[in-house]
Amino acid sequence: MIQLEAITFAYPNGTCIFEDFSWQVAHGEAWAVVGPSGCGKTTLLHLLAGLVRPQAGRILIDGQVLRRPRPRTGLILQDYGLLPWATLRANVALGLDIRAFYGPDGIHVPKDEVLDDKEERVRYWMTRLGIHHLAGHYPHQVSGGQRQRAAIARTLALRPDILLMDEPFGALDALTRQDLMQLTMQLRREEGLTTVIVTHSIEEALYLGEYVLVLARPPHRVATALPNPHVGDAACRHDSAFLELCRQLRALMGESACEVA
Amino acid sequence: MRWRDVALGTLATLVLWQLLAWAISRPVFPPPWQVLPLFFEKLGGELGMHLLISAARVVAAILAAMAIAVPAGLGLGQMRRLDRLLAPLIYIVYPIPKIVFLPVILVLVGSGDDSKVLLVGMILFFQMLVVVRDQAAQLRPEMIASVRSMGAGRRALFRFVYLPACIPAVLTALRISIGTAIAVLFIAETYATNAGLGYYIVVESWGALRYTDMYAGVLAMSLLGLVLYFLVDWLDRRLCPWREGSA
Repeated sequence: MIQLEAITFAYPNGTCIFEDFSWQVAHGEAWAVVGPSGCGKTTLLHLLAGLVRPQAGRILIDGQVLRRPRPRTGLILQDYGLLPWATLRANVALGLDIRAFYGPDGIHVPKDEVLDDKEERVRYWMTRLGIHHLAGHYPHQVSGGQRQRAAIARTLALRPDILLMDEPFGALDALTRQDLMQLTMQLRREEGLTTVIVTHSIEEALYLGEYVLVLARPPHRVATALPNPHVGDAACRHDSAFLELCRQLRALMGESACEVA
Repeated sequence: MRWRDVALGTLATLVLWQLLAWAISRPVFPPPWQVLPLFFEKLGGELGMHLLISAARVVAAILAAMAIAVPAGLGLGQMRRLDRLLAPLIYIVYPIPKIVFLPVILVLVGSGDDSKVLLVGMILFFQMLVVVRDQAAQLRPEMIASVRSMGAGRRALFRFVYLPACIPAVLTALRISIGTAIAVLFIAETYATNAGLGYYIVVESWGALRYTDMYAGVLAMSLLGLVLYFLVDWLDRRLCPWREGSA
């Protein structure tokens, strides 16, 4: 479903992040991307989201070359993604409002988009994420976890098939984080989503990814990926197999990754 | 501002005014009980007309300044390189008291309403430009990326992000500059015109030594400022409800 074919990406200042890098994600897979800060994890998501383009090589999604943000790809960022001047309800409706603004033009909006049930979809997803009672609140009036729930509702209301998340649980306290990770895994099963979740925490990566892509120091030339049998299992954290996998990932991330637990 | 505060403030002003009038006790500073009846009497006639003309000029200047400053500020805020290029120019022109351009303006656009609107508009323009630019530069790239990822192109970004983001900036700029704008309009209206509060106060009243009339005009000018401030506050509450309590 997602194919990176020998892509090269460097920043204007010359820092090369990817060089002749290839990687594939099959339909419905759950991937976690782990690596130290500054390793290009976010760049990878921006590439997948179509926000930036590689200088060489190509990115294919469902066989189509990615040239601009794709309507069926949802992107959720750590924070700051919500409009501070809009209520949670308006934030959740934002994607649908943008779709109504353009109409189903096949560029910004899928050709088959029907927006008759906009209000219903907003209400459904706010209820599903448990924030319906906060509809009239502004982002600064609710907790970080509730803001992140709004961001998830906003994205899922657009009925994506790919969900990209950039450190989505980084700013949350431990309890809220576990809660939201569980909910995310449940939603991805319900909606049949392909997920790519970026994190700097190995523990989070092993909870969220059937496969873990390890990014160490850029430039990245080879996709180092490990299958993870512990996905979605929070109870295994003290198993020796789990700890061994953690040790392996840490080694792959290199010495610079000493900040991760 | 609440109505009760305004009433108290007005009362305090009147008391102070009366005390000063007693202390000075010359015809050049008439007490409020002489000015107020005249003010209300003339507001329905000649003074009211001058007030409306001045108000129309200020409002036209606000709209004109907004029409240019908002897009320009948004552009500069988002295009760092252009901003670096133009910022020195803006900062050189910004502090120049725009009233010094009045002779040039009178020559170029004539002595009609346009000259007043242009002068006041210039003052408002720079205030708005700088505030809107800073506001646009503060928009988090993460937020823009996440809105773009939902399919928003340039037009949708403008409609859903940039425009709502700069409304509070525009209102802040207005709040800061209304006072200056009215003061400068006053000076502009004392030259080459026969309408507006500046003309009424300086030429018709002061020039004719009708001091009571003059202070009625000054009252009208305060009223104009007060109404504009209330308008901005009201717009702020209507358009920016998320700023409740922080504005």
